Amino acid sequence: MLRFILRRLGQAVLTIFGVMLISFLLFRGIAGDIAAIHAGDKSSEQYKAEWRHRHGYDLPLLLNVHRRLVVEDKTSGPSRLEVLDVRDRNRFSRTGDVLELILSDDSDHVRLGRYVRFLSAESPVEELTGGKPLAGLREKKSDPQPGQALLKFTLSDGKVLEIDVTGSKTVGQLIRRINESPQNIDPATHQKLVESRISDWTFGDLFDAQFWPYLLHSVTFQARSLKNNQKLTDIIAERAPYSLSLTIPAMAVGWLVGMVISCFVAYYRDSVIDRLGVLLSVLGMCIPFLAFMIIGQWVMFRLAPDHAYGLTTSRANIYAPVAIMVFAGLGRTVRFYRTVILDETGRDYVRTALAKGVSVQSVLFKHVLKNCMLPILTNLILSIPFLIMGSLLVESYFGISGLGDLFLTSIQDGDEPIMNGLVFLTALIYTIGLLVTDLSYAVFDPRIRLQ
Amino acid sequence: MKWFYIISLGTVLFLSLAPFMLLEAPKPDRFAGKIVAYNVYLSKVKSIDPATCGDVTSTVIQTNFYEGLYTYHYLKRPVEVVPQLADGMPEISDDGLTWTIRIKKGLKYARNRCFGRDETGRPGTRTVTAEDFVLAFKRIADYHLTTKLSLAFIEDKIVGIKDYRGRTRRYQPGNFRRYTEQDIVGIKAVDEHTLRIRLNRPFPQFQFVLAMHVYAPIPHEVIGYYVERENGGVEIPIAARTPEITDYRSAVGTGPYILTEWVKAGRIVLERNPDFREDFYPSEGGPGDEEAGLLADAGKRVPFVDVRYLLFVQENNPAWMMFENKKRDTANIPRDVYTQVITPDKRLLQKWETQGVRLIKDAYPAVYWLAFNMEDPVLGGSKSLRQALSLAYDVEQHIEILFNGRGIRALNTIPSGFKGHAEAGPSPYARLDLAAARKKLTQAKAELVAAGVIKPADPIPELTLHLGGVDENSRRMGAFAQRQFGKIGVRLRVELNDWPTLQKLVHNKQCQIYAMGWHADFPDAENFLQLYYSPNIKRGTNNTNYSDPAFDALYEQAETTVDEQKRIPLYAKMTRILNEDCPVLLLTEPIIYVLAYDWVYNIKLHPVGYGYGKYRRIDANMRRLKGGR
Repeated sequence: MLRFILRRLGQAVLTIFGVMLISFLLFRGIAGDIAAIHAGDKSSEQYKAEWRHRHGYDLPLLLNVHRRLVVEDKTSGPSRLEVLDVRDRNRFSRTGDVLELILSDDSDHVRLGRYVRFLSAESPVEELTGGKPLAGLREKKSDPQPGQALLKFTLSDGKVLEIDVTGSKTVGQLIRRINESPQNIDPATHQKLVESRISDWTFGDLFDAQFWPYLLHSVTFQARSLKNNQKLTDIIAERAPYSLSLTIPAMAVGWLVGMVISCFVAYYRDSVIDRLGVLLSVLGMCIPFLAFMIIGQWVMFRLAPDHAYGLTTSRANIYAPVAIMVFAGLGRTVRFYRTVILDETGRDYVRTALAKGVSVQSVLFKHVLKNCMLPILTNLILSIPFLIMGSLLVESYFGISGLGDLFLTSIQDGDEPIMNGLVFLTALIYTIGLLVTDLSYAVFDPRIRLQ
Repeated sequence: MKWFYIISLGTVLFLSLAPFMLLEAPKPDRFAGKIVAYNVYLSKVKSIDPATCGDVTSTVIQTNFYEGLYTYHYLKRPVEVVPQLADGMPEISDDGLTWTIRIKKGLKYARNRCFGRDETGRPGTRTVTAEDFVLAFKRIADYHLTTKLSLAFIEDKIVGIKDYRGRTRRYQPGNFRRYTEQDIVGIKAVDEHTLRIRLNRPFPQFQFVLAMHVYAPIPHEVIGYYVERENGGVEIPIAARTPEITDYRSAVGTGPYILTEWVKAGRIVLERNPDFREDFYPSEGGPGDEEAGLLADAGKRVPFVDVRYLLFVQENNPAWMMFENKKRDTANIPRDVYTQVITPDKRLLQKWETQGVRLIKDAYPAVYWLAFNMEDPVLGGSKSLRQALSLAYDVEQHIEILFNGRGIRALNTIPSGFKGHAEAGPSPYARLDLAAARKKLTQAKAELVAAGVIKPADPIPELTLHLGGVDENSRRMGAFAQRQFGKIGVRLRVELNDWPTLQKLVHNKQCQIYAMGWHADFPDAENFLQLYYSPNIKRGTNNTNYSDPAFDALYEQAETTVDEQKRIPLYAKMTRILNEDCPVLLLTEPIIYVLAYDWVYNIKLHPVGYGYGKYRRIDANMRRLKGGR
């Protein structure tokens, strides 16, 4: 038994890791410009680049085997080294940045350009700039002449340094141009003002990438919203009670009503009642959930407009959406439970009991129902993750401030830590649910005991 | 087995009572005897910190408790900047660079625990000083605070902002000593009630910037009490602190209301600030205001309403039913009920008029368009092609079909209410003329052949339109645009994206044609013309990649022309260049429709300003008599 549990736990860990990795990669594929969402549509490129840097979005995706160009400020003073790329002296480039500048936080050296895998002195400069040419090339014939690529540094002691790097083909040439520029010498001390090199890489940098911190934050429940810095655990603590108030009664009542009806239908198997029951169930499954809700709310606004929206007048207002959820789910539940019950009534022990003269009611309600509980409870356990996550449509239609829309809005708003945290949480609960079901099977059903 | 049934029933009963165990009971009749305005908000409040405010809903909420130095006159049109917390208009030096602003004396913050307690044991308050404004600007310039738009307006305008921002980088995000140890060179509290701001270059629109609430004063006590400490108690370790104001109790301002309740994705309650300064309803208005009864309350002390109770409603359906059932005082008209409310000639249906509902319409200062990527070889290569597409597009039908007629055709790139719009005149291509369009298309082919983009025998290549939505509306818009271009034989492919994806594509210049628009930040045409200034390509606001030296020269000249009378002709000239070049296919200027019951008074929509809830008056008796709450 212990080995079984351990093996399942090992599988669970791998499953969750896989889920996290896939969801991370998928989201990166579709996300759009996250910095634009959080730093505002109207903010400048520099500002967005700073935002990306602050939140680690400039790091390599999965594994860091990358190097960057580093420029160190050799003068020391209170202000930071600021780099501006200027092309054509007073005109900004038309094709974007010469180098995508991302400034590092450790104050006295600046990293230039994006992270490049295995950057070396022989790498072409285009690797730093994302394929864009370094110098302003002529785009139209009417353009006067190719521009100069100038790097402008504001040093920490306030000096401004302008270095012409036009025509550098490789990173090595670029570094030499910066280091050996005549402007780059302090006239007083004959020392270099800035020094450029390729950053070092050690094995410890391998996990300095975007994926791992997110994984860690999700697993340790430290994820914080990019929108308002709220912790995921706080958001859940604040809003889960609303979702649970909706989903727990809906599940409990749905189970009870579903059981009663399906027993009734199964009892009259193959009669008109059974046929009618199945027909209505299928019909109920065909009607979209939204329709139930719109009609239900319309009726509520006619009957009791004060109690039709929100929970501000009374907590009991929640029973209107609960009723709608139960009613809308009934078709599916009855069909499933009926199948389970009929499955059981077809077994040998039922035939034997009936042949021995035990009454139908007694067989149905004493033996069959008990044995039916196993698949039904499995089904219920599997729905537990969805209890906490709430129900998006019901919550937004009835003004219940639960977690239903959290997943959706976190994806729409590019709030990745929250999204990842939720993916982890759902995967975790789901895996635990499956584990518990499997175990309970093994404990309660002697037929499914594992060797 | 009997027990099984009893236990199951018991469990079900117990579980179905979960709401009573998990949720707090609502307090009944909290507002008995008070005048309460009921309304809803349709999207989430993202921020209650003025520095990080960037969306309309947050602005609507925040302006109830935060106030800027200036604001716009509620009634006068064209809009006019008037002092709010400032005492009189700013004194501007002759070179236009130094702005000296006096702050009203005796302004008090709303009572809050962060000010300690006074003799009677109530939460304390204190006078607003110039230093509080300086702190507000410092927070906006703070590297560690992600502002949405407050920084963008002042970043390269006020002396020392960038420098201060660079220096704050060196501090840990949770170390707020940067607010006292570092200073912005260009912003200074000369004395307790005088603020002096130095600009890099003349910036005539700065008065509009100061009329935004995002530069509202922030008392340093808020930082000390709520941001550095756990609700005034235990000090939060520096590493765990975040610089943004997120607790609703820490939203301390000078405004007419106090934020007393904020249930996220639930409700917002704003209650009257008993210490609000003496503020009065304006006694002058624009033309027609007298007749509309908007001056009946002239000179009376505001606010009129005691409590503003706002429910979060995400879906149109319940939001509309609440209005129908008189559970809210005003409403917008959702698309799907439009025909049940408005007649084909754009008036209110009789049924609603008899119930006392009024329809208020107003132009909204925004322009929507289809942008052309000027770096695209086809569209950038042929001016005639852009002109032809403009001439072929039936904008009137576009408004009718896609917006229920709620809009007017945009005639040039400046909204019709702004100075410069009339002076520039309508674009010659902002009309429907298929014959002219076909003629232009023939020219376009010749131009493209001459530029080597297509071969003489080829037709115009298929174009691609990117839309920033995946819903039904976007699909319809795509199909409509296809029909319009199809009329002159130009094939169009439509791609639907969500909004962030579209932004990314546009930023990477991967789109040909895309639906865009601009909402005015302030009532000056510069706000719209900067979208075509070529250095702004790099900044990201010029996303058509339009670049014209003559236009740039005029823009640079207008930027530093302080005298509005001299600036307007420059705006007109620039607009005429754009009219001819057609970097965008002009579509619409929206018109806003608002419905209000007759127990609500003093509603006038403001094109750019916010925070006018204090002027609204409600006749609660009439509401009750008519069946409302």
